[in-house]
Amino acid sequence: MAARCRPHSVDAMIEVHELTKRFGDTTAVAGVSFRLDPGSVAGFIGPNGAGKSTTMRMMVGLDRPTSGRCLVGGQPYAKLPAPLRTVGTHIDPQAQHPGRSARNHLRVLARTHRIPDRRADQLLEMVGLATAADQRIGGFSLGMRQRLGLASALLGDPAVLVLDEPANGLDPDGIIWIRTLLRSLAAEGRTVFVSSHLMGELAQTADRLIVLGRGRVLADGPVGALTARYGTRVSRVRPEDPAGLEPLLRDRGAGVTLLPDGMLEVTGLEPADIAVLAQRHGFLLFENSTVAASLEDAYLALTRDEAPHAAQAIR
Amino acid sequence: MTAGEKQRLSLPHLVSSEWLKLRSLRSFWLGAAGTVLLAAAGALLPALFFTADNPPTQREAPFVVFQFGSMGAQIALLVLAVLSLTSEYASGSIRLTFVAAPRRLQVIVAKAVVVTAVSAPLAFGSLAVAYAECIPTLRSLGLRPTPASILGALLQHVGYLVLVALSAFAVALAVRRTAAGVGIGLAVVFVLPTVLSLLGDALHLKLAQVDFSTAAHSLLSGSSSTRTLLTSAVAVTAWLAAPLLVGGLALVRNDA
Repeated sequence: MAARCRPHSVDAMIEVHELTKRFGDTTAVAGVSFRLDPGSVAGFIGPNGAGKSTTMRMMVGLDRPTSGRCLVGGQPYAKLPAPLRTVGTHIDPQAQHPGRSARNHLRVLARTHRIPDRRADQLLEMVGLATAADQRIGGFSLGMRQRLGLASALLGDPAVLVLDEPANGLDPDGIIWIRTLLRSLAAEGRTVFVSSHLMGELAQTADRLIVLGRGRVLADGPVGALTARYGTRVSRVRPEDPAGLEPLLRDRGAGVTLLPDGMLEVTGLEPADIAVLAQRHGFLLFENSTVAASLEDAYLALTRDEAPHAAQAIR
Repeated sequence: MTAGEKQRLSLPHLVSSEWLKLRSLRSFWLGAAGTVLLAAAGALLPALFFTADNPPTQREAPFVVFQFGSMGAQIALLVLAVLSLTSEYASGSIRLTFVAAPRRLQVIVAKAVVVTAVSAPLAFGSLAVAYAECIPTLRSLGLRPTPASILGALLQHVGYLVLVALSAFAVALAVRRTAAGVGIGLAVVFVLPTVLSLLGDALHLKLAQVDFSTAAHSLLSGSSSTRTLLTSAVAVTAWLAAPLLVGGLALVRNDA
């Protein structure tokens, strides 16, 4: 894209070491450590209140850590000589003055680093807001604010991007657009750190996932490895007589869910074991297959007991 | 110098950003227009009530006109100075400012520079309009103050209005809320002089000397004794420094 070029040559590594944040008696972030390397998209995921936004805010100096530190290229964010040219941040789409136009919003930020005004126009074009450049932000939808926030983050052509739920509020086209954008930014050698609640999004975008729960890192690794390790494989079985086969499967210690269409979802037994059992007891199977574990399954397995604001299950 | 070195964070760049920030809002232009209108409205009083029975002296006339003009103008300037900071807190955009410029005190210095640079010409222009409005009345009374005396009185009141704007900005830094900032600012310039004067009478103390408005006028007029000037300088410095210190400490120590 015309608005982007190679990121500035800084050591784009981010090192978060034992970051802790307490608000009174509440510990929002407890000893979080990780390292982000250039050229990849790292997803930051966790339930509401897990501490994702607080961690990101501490990384860019908005919140003071109770203890621990975050270094960007070996120095704290506040010591960077040109922060916007090193780290592009999009934390809160509402943190934009409603009375200012989109163009002036970007120009105000650009002037702090003597970035030319034309860069603002290039980025508005790139994020699809060129026609709304002179409109006041107060009239923008959440999706438009997200796009403007991304333009703000890219203003200094930074080597690192820290983005808090950038896909929130975007329409399906926007979600596809941001997925492509993040991948291409990483392909240019940038470090992309993105939080999201949209697990499907992260599955398709991130190379690596850091899962946070109650302020602690629950898991950290490549998406495939986490899915394989924490996701539950489910066998889908369609017998001629579901009611007859179900108790037999349970007797073997399997978890069984009978679906309205007569399909059985079985955990704890492999398809081959199910087939042998059915054959021995004379049950005919029309279907017996395995559904691959999903990132969503892995996420739910990891965070089941870690959500501070969990809703009651709907029966 | 490479492009990368040029595109670094610096105080002049921050001042440029803060100036664009201010002038890109409609409320700033409304506030500027309000400053001129309120100064003109304030100057209506001397224009209407200077009479042949009780005319001011040639020397007094410009001071009286500018005093009434600045009474009006200071309301709008005070609101503008408060809004230059609190509107960012209200909208949350202060977080974006601090992400772009993480050295927070440098941001506050840049804002204070812009408040000073904006309020000085605005005060000068609005008071000039106020004086022009009174010229027919003054001439009808045969008063023709010298340009030097007009300019001297004008600069004194411009200085006062800049101090009022800076004081309101300092209060805004301490309280971070528009309503509280404007309320306290107005109380300091309009209510406190009366309260301190009454209290001083009751306690037999010269409390009026340490009132912000009195001290600022006394300091800028330069016509008082050395001791009074010193007292005024200390009082004005204290009025500016106390909220700046409280606000500055909170700014550096607290989360944005």
